[in-house]
Amino acid sequence: METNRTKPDIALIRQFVQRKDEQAFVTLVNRYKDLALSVAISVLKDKTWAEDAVQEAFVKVYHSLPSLRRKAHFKTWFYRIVINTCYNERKRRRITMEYGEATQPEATAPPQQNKLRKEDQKHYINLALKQLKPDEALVLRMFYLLELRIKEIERATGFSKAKIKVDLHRGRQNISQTLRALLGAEIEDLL
Amino acid sequence: MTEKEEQYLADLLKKSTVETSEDFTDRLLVAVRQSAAPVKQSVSPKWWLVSLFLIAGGLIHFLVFRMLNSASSAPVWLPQGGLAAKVIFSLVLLLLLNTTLRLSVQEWPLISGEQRE
Repeated sequence: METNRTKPDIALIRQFVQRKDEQAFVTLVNRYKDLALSVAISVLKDKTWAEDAVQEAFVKVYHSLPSLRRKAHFKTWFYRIVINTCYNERKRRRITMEYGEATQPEATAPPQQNKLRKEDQKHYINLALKQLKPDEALVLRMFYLLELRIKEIERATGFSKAKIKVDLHRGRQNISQTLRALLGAEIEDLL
Repeated sequence: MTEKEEQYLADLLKKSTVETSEDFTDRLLVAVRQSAAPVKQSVSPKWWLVSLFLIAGGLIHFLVFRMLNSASSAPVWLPQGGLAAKVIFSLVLLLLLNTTLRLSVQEWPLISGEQRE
């Protein structure tokens, strides 16, 4: 028998909408929570605030899912809700962004061992993403981590195609520079 | 940036997932259930008195206007149009009164049903 974990999104959505099956919603939450948090952190740059925003977004999803007409577009619709919630949260908290020229990469001791471990890689890549402008970090994560196409990113963020491409290009350049600044010679282990 | 570097960067970015805290799903479900619960309307009985008073006041107001307007001595600030204009004028007045009272009552714990310590 097929368990919820292996079911596609559309089947879970139908299960939740038609049968009010909360377990199906929980499976969707578990499937998307980490990705949503990664997206939210790109905008808010703070894990606690990002978790609050993701929670709020999921509550909105819970109530609006029955009225979603094109269930196949769930993924982009969901990320759009997450992003909009983050923008509102940012406005509400009047966050002063810590990125760009004024911010130097945090001084962290480069790892001693020759090969960076997997956790180190994750730590440094997230640290580098934190230094990027929110739009650049957001677009990079949506493209590489969520594996969304440019058109889907357009739908989820409301950005133009040109802006997405520019942000992707600049984001790649900037993250590579930031990683070099963070790790020095150790960068060869990463790039 | 070379193609190889770009590929490496892409692989690296795939590892940039940030994990939610352990109790995230539990907290979320609590939030969802709370948001789904019906909102309790805590209208105290005294509010009914205030509302009744306002409705009655509005009606009296309207009748007085009608009387005044039927006489030739109607004040200039009264609407000179038909019945609809007078109804709208009275409703706006009522609304203003209601809002003012509501605001003042909020600052007045005894009327809003709260007990003073």
